[in-house]
Amino acid sequence: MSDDNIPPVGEDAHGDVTAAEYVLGLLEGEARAVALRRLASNPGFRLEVSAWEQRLAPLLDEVAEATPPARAWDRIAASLTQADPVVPFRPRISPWNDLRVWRAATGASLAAAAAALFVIILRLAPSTPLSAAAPKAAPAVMLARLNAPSGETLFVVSVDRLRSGFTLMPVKAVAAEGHVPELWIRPAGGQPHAVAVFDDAQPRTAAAPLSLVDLASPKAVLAISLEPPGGSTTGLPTGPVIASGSLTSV
Amino acid sequence: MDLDWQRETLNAAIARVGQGEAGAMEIVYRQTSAKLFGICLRILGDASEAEDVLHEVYLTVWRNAGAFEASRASPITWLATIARNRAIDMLRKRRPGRHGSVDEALTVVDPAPTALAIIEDGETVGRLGRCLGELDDRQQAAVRRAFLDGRTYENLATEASVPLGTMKSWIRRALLKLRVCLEL
Repeated sequence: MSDDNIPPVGEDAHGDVTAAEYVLGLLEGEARAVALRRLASNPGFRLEVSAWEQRLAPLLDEVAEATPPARAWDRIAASLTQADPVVPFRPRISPWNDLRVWRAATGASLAAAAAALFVIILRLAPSTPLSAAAPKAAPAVMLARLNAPSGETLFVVSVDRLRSGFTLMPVKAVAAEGHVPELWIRPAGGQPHAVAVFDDAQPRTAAAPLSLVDLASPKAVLAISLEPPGGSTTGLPTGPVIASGSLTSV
Repeated sequence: MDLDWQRETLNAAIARVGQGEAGAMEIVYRQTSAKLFGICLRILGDASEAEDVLHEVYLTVWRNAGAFEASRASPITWLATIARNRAIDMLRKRRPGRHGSVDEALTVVDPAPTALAIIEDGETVGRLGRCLGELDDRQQAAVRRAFLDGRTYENLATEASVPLGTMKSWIRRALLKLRVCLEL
């Protein structure tokens, strides 16, 4: 990798202080970009960064406090109503308020899909406490409701980072006429990446490479386009995007 | 004053924010905004940019508070680290260098809300101070300027009138020493 363009001080891995350089904020341009990419893709590097953040955090005690102008809070308060918080899944609190919408919208034929999703959530939630593993950049399980431009929810997608899979639940059949729904993920500010082609009548879980799962973060957008059977061959959606929505953690 | 009490109040407020209670956000804001604004202002040196970053920081808190674990984490360390990271991010984007466009395509990564308690932990604070004290004066000053004022290698080399390579090796040696000292 090009982070070796800086000659190491020590000769072994222990001489690599890139994580500390990143945390101190010393890097700029390409060196910073490389560190940010490593942070997104390398859990070991994330741990190191987190360790340095903790080591150095006490220095922040030296920073003088400064009262922000009163309007700063008004602006934040106004934004809160637009940005829903990510409520973690716990059996009692539960994101059902969210899910009830699509459950209610579905017919009896889709009860199975709802049940399947429920099972997935119940199975994952207790077995993946956030504290068990190393600190993560994104939550282990995330959900997205993919809505048509009309606001109607057409699909619910869950992404399981630990098991590296995308599960797609059709909420409403979409008239496809020889076309199949294809799921795409687009990281904030990035290009769409194809995830998998689905049958719009059945829930389905697709195993996905880590590189795709790593794109799943609360800012990423999922979208469904209608493609010829087998999916788009261009690497980008060719048919109409019929539904989209952003990920939130469960 | 009573750090434990303050910390517990903040933990409770963050837990309520995590359950989507907007009213609790105001408690978190009232308790922490002066500290976080101070951090943003110090790094950015511009009140209006600092205000924008502060806005982003609290929206991040609003979205991520649900994953915060009070048993493992110090709330103020978590918040302060988010604020510092976001401010550095803004600073690097503000001055797009040769590779500015590359930088802008990437998003800063917020700290995991499971960071261990540090800021209120007097022993740890003392240890960092002692370890920094073992560095020579130039190294110590450079580490502080970078962390507290958002200076890059290039800024520091210019300020100290030394070649970039010299500054890099000063700081890298300092970081290696610091790591050994802090891990003992």
